[in-house]
Amino acid sequence: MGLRAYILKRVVIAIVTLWVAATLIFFLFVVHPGDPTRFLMDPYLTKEQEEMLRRELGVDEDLHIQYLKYMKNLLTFGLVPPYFGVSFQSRRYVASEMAWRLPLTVGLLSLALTGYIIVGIPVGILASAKRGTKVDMGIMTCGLFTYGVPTFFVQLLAVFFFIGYMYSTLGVKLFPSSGWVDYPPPQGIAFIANVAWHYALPVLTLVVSNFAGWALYTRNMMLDSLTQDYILTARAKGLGERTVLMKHALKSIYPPIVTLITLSIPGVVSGAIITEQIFGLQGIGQWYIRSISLQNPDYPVVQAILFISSTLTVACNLIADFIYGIVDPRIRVGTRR
Amino acid sequence: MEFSHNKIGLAGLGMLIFFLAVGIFSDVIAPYSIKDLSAESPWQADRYALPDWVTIFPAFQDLPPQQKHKTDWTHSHSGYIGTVKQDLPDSVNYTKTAGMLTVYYNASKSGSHDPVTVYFNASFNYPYAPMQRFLLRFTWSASPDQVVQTLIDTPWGLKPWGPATGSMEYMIKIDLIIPNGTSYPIWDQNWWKYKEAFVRIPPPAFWNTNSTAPIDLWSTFGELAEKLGFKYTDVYLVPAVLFSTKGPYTLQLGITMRPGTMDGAEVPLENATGRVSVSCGDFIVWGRRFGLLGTDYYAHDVFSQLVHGSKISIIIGVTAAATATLLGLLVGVTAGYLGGWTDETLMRMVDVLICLPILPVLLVFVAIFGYNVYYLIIIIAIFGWQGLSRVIRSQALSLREMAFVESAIASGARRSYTIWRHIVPNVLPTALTAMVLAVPGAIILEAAVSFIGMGDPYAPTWGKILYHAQDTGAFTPAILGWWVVIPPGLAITFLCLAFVFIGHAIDEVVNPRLRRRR
Repeated sequence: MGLRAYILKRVVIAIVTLWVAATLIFFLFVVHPGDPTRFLMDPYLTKEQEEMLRRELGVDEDLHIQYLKYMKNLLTFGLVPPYFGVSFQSRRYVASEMAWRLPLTVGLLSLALTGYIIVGIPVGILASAKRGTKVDMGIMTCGLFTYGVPTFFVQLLAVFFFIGYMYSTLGVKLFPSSGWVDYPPPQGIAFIANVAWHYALPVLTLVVSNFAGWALYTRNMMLDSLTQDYILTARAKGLGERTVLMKHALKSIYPPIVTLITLSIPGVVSGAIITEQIFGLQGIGQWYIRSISLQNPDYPVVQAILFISSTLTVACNLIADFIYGIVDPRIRVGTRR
Repeated sequence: MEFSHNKIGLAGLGMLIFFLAVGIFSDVIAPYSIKDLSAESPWQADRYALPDWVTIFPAFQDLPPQQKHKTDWTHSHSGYIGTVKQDLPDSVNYTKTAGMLTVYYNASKSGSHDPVTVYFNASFNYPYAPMQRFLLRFTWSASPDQVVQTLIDTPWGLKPWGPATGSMEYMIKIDLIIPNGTSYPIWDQNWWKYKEAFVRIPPPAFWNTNSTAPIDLWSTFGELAEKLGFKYTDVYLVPAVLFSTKGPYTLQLGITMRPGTMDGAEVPLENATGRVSVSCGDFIVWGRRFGLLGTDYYAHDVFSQLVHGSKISIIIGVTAAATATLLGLLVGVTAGYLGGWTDETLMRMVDVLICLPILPVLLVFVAIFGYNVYYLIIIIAIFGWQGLSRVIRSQALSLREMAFVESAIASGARRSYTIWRHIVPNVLPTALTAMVLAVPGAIILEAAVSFIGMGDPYAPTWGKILYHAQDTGAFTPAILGWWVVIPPGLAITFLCLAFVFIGHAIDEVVNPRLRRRR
């Protein structure tokens, strides 16, 4: 099949997948009961103005026309009008609000991901190197334990302890109560430091409760590759254990690790929802909850966020496939069915 | 089996059996039923009451438990209570049946027009720190034997004109007498009028008609605070000051009666008769400690909620995971074995469904259609089986090439026979591990939905306890309700851990790579 054909096939599949996902999202909201435009309706509007508003929002049109408009809206990714639509709550373009909310969530995710890589992977390698010893058992149990504890419980405990107890009772302010920056925000370098301080506790709790999954995965992969024959050869050649580990075994698990990283990115929306709710960060997740728990849910916002999430998933899967295609020669050359 | 050698697996199994037992016997273990725990149900103790066992710490020794003192109005025929002489006047007679005290007034017996007051007492001992709220609950009714109401002829028929008058005028009041003898007038039948008096308490006002009213006197009424001389907003000072000493407290019921005035003239003594009834209600001290795990903001027992939630979590988790695994198994085997177009279509479907994140889509369903536990299970099943289907598909693919399958086909086996008898049993271990490991995910998903506030409004799930905790200030320094935050979280943790341990043990058994090298 060859590399080019493989990539082409993957891209086409990705585009079609995204389109089907967007259609599913569309039909999710078509079946809603109630009037979604009640938010934008002013009780003092005259009948003609109401009609004009409805025409503009397009709620009374035929289904296929609504669908086409919706598709155009989403697939332009908010870069051209109608900019993902108008939010019912804030009566502004969804894209403009997304412009300052998305970086908050992306920042949270990037920091957490860095944490997983820096903490989880070395721990996994260590556990695999010292397999069977107390260190391994200890890490495994610890890992299984934190794997079972739900992330939001760890976060609630952290909020309870650091903010409720230490700050309010003892007066020790280790971490700020909520939000992503103080108000009024300081300028320059202090701004970055302030944001980092606000993000410290969320990222810390995320890493503590999730690094175990990464460690276990890395450990399993390393154990797999450590039983291969070339490791035996390397040891027989007299290479030091560290070289064997780092240069040979680790290199063989790069593709799965990179795939793991790539496939963790789409979890940003789901994961951020709870974290942002608990810590009061105004990112995508908290915006989503706010938009959806209203009496009349804010459909443009919800649709936009779901679409962004789908795009992210599709894109990341595509990238993961590319990496596999490039790294694994069997795919490049083409396997027989 | 090897499973029994695995300590982690056994630990997991033990925890799971514990939770199952709690769930099965929840109606027996939990002191309160699910109906008692709904938002409109009556209080079980004070809001955010601590657990009962905190009294082992010296700082909490004096916390008042939940108490219900029956106000059994008794009359002592001689002596004084406070400064009040306790004789029974001639014109007054009383009877007390179970739960109801009735006082009969007959002015002719004493031959005087003066008002007479008779006092009844109900005492209880209070050796604790002051409570935060109390509730005095009783019913009173009064009926002069004759009541006259002038009627006037109006186009709408006969209508009352002017106030009604009766043969007896009465006034009822209740004082609280604290151990050092001070008496606080906590209630009289005119008590709600005190809000209107800016400068001074209005003079006592007698009533002279038939009346009856049930009384729920909460200590948090602003009118009570004002009546006792506090600020309208200082409602928590009322019990703090009143009950600041430990000792015997007395509720003193005073009923004052005198001949009424009818038609402008005072009623002759023979006609000045009537009766007043006061029920032997309850003086409820809302306990600041209660139960095994205290109460939440809605004053409901947390331990009961925890026990009932166990049942719900296990059912939802296992059902959702089982359905998802079943779907994944079916799709994976079909796609892997049949191959070709079926394979392609199914895998594309899987790709699409992976795109949409579970939690947001679930929230959309709940927002539009309302919460329904079946939605949860269905959506987890639809969106949660993709990973498994891929793994099973690849396993089916490799199994298809194996010799025993080829020989089965060669000897003429039908496709369904091959699938059921050869492929499926070989992918079952993977599926089983995946199912056990999927249960924690389902449980946490359900808890997350409840935690956001979009869960079942009637079921006491663990996530809902945390949601109410966050919503009603358990994290604020004033309350720091650790007994509402930590138990549900620990429960979720250990239930998930149980499945993770069991799953890990199963994984080690069926997956040869992870076993020790022999």
